Amino acid sequence: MEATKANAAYSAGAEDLGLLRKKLEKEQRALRIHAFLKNKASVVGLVLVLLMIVIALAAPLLTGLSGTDPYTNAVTQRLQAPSAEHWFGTDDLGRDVFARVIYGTRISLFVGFSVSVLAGAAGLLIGLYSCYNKVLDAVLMRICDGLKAVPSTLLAICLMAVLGPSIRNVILSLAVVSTPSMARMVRSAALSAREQTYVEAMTCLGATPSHILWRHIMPNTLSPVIVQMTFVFASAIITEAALSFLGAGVPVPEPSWGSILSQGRTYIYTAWWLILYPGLFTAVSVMGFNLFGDGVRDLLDPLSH
Amino acid sequence: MKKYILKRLLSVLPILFIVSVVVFTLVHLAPGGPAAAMLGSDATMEDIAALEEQMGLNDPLYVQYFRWMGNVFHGDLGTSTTGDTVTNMIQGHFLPTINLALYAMVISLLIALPLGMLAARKRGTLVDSAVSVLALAGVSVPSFLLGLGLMMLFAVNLRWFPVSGYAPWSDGVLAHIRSITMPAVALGFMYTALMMRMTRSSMLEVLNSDYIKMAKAKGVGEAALVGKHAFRNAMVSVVTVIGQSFIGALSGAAVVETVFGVPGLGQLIVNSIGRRDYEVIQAVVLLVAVINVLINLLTDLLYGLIDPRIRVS
Repeated sequence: MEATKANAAYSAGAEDLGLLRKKLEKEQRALRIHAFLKNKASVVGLVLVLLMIVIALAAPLLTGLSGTDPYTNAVTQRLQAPSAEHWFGTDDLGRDVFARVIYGTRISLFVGFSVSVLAGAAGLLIGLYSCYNKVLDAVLMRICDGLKAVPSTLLAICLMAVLGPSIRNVILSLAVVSTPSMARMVRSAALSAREQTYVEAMTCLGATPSHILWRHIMPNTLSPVIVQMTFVFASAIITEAALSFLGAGVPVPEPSWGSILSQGRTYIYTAWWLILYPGLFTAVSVMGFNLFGDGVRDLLDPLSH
Repeated sequence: MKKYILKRLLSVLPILFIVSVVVFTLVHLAPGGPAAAMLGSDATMEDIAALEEQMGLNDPLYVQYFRWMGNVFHGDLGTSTTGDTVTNMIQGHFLPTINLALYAMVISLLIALPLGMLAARKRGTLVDSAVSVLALAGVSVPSFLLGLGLMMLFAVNLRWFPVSGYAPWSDGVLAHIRSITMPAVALGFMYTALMMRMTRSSMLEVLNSDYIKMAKAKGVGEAALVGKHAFRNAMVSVVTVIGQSFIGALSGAAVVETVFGVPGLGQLIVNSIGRRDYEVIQAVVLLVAVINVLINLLTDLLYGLIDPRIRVS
């Protein structure tokens, strides 16, 4: 009788503790989000990122408003300055620059998103498994060192030269370029998590290595991975534009910001709009992701600096 | 110090080996193999087979690798599809790129060090915020975009600089500087931002340390405090950024050179992509990677020189 009572009291206490813990966690989260929102720079970043996402998603609607599309050539209307008919002017084939810049947002964000997800996933896999097997570690980390020795822009150009221009290859090349530093970072976070006492305790309790790896070590590496992913996103947008500018990225006639800018280079004396608008979109979206990334870092990893 | 240098020198060898393997592998990733990729889509099977035989692509990969490495050590980097030797082509394109990258570094350092230190000294003021905004712009505006903007403003509208082209030293110092200033500013802007951030944060860290407070308490003046006591310690982390920036500039030059028509390594690589000239691409990537490894080595040695504690560990 006494024992059941004590047990009931105990479990009630445990329930209270669980509730308290949940409440505290919730409060802490609210505090962090509050801090994120109080930082003007992160909010500007968030707004810019959301704006770009909305533009990308609503591209057909927006070009519906302007009544133009990114692919129709109209040689009679080539290189026209911005007007009521063509908001951002036309390019050397008479295509509407507004529609091309708007659809270019889709390409840039798609490339940025795919690259950061691929690099994040590959970095997690490589980083986590290399911290659990010495031989694998030596092999994988040496490959990463070798890839990191080639500067990223050059490596991306070289990969594109070998694979040939296409959106899929741009994503693949940029993911290869971004993975080594991601893997290095996951590995160091995982190594320090592995030294924790609770991991030792889990091992003693008979947990399998893969259980420990994925359920207990992996969550510790997630914050730096997410932070790094936002920066990979930003640099993927830049490098994609650079590759397309060189003619080694997204193939014509797809509307990439980089390839519009490359037309702008050719017609620099006459067609300023071919540089201003795609340039503005590139800079603003990269800045948005950089600011957002800084904010996310402060949110997830307040001790980082 | 001798032991430290020797240790670092030896550690470079395995990295160089891995780099060469990675570069070798990259070119062999081409769909259908390098020969098929070089000849393009209208090549017949016989043509491809003949070229494969001629290039020795039928040998096992490791044989090909060692033959390539053997040639590299003899200074033979291969033959371009234009018929010229790759060594010749690189020699012809090397100087503009090095000049451009060095000039970009000089401009970056001249702007970044004083501004970074100023921002650290005036922390939290308007000056500090202005420097932060400049740093953010630096990492957000890609070099080729800034280059196009500069070109539009200073070459097309104001006509202060030529739109494009490159004047070597032999054309006179002034012509050289004029032709290379805009590309160098465009290339260096991002690294200016990175160095500025680094200088600011490491300066702040050092200024907060006890020995600086001690020096201040003993009445050391502002100039000596920042210039003599804090500067050297703050430089340790800045030196790494300088090394990495130089490498970044060498590789980023590919895009800036295309914007401004500078006949450097970058333009060589971009033109080689169109020609499917894999031996040239392979050689340039290898060259830049080796320079990268050597600069990292140099940075580490400089570390040891600046901060004696690093030599010991």
